Amino acid sequence: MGGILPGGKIDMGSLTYLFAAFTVIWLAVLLYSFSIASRQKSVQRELEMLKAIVEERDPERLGG
Amino acid sequence: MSEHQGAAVSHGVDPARIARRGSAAGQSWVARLLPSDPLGWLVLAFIVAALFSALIYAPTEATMGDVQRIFYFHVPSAWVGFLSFGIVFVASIQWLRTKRPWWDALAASAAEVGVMFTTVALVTGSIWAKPTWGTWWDWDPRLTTTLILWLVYVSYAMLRSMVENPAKRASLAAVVGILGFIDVPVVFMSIRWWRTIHPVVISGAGMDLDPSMVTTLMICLTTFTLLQLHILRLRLHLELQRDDARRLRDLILED
Repeated sequence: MGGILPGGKIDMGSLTYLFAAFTVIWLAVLLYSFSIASRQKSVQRELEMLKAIVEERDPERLGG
Repeated sequence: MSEHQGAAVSHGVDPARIARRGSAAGQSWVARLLPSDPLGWLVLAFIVAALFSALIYAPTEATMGDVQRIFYFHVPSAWVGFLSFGIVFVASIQWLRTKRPWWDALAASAAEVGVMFTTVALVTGSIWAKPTWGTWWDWDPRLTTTLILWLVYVSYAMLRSMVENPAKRASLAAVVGILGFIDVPVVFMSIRWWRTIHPVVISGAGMDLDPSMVTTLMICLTTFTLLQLHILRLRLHLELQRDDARRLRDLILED
């Protein structure tokens, strides 16, 4: 990575934008993955509950 | 076949399959985020390679400096956004042809993933524009058509949440999914059809880039394509589980 201006100074302005963009990208991917995982957990909990109701009515049904 | 099994089949429900699908319920959501299959690990390896290529391997661009490195993730984000909307297009046609719920679940999942990546493309483009153009946003043809594309698929998601009947929801969404895709080639061609300030990287003469920049871009494109497939697979699994839950609910209410 460059980021060095003539005279040996670090181009902080350029690096700030780069850091902001990379943060947005990976935060979005991470938050979206968390959102899928948390929604999946809630659906699985509901599925377990529904399966328990079905099993209670007919135990052979979910046995495969 | 028992009376219950007969009812299950008539509703497209296989209780044994649903029982198997719910087997990971005990896992924490953090544990489920970690790669549990070869694709997940492959994606992780590619992310490391992409970060190395974009931040260290690729040379600093002479005019823009380090800000240009945003390009290595901005372009792949836009690409996988388009790819996702292409999947919505194909899945929507397949739903209208076959009425198989799997196609509708795929379209719904791909649309959400597409909106996520298009949001990333719009935001990173805006962050790049500020130091380069001196403004966060410009009503340039490329930016405007991309924003329209994003709005179309946000509307698609809103439409899905507003219609209760699953078959009606799937058909209405499929029409929007098919018509919305018309904007994808318009976005791609906008920088060729109209006067624009957006950079043209891929032209008729190929890519106007240093070979190491092209290599980096290819690694990042591969990474984002694999990442999109991985996320889409997780999202599709969620959508299918929702369908299962809905069918089981209907079945219990009917019994």
